[in-house]
Amino acid sequence: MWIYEKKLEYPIRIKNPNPRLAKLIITQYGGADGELGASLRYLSQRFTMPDAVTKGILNDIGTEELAHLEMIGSICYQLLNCAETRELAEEYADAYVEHGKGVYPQNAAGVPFTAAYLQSKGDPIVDLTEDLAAEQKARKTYEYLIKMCDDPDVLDPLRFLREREIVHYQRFGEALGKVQECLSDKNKFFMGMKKE
Amino acid sequence: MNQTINYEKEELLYQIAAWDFRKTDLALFLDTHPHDMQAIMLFEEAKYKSTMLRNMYESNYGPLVHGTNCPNYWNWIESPWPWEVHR
Repeated sequence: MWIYEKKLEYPIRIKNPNPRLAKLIITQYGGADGELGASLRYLSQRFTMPDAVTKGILNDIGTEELAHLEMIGSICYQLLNCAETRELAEEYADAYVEHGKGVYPQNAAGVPFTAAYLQSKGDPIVDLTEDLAAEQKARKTYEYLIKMCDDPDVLDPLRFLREREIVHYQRFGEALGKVQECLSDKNKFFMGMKKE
Repeated sequence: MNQTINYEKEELLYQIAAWDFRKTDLALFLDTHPHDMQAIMLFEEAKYKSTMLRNMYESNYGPLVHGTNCPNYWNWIESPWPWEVHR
């Protein structure tokens, strides 16, 4: 189960409202490669992982992704909270009429979150391969966001989150390697079949 | 709901977040390297530092989890919450 700690994993202190950035960054809240998708994916896949290492890593990375979800939500909240009507009308009107200054799981184009963004296939090779791809997609999304961003208060947590994706990719690679070691020698293509 | 900044409090919370993050990162590493004794020792060190700083924070500024240092009212609900803006 989860316990809530009254702190963010990494501090976020944004001084200047910026609805334009909020519209982009929300994509890591409710978009295809965002933190909500990542948490649900890993926390769903963990049930059918075959051993201690894989259960542990899926559980723990999934938990960290929830902390990242909170960070992204906090960034968007702080970017919008003190924004003036003029700024909102210029860059944020569509989202504003639907959600006001509220934080809602959607991507940068306003498409709401869906579980179709993730898969949990009950097979460790399938699931871990998807997880490697997911971390790369998330990393790239942060890189694109960093390129679009000119506020150092926002760049700082974005860079942290990008680095975490790289570390997660490393850990999932190690987990996949461990699973592959346990496969039958006959199974040269590393499909999800148990050792005989 | 803007809070005026208490720099000592913010600095202490920053230190706690740093040691807690070290714990988290080591925990992920240990999940795939469960017998790495050096990592376990580093984890224990981070846990010790985090615990000490948390005790200091909680006795001065309020709980980080439910119910620690609860005075005569449920101060858990008091601001600031982690997402709140500091000016």
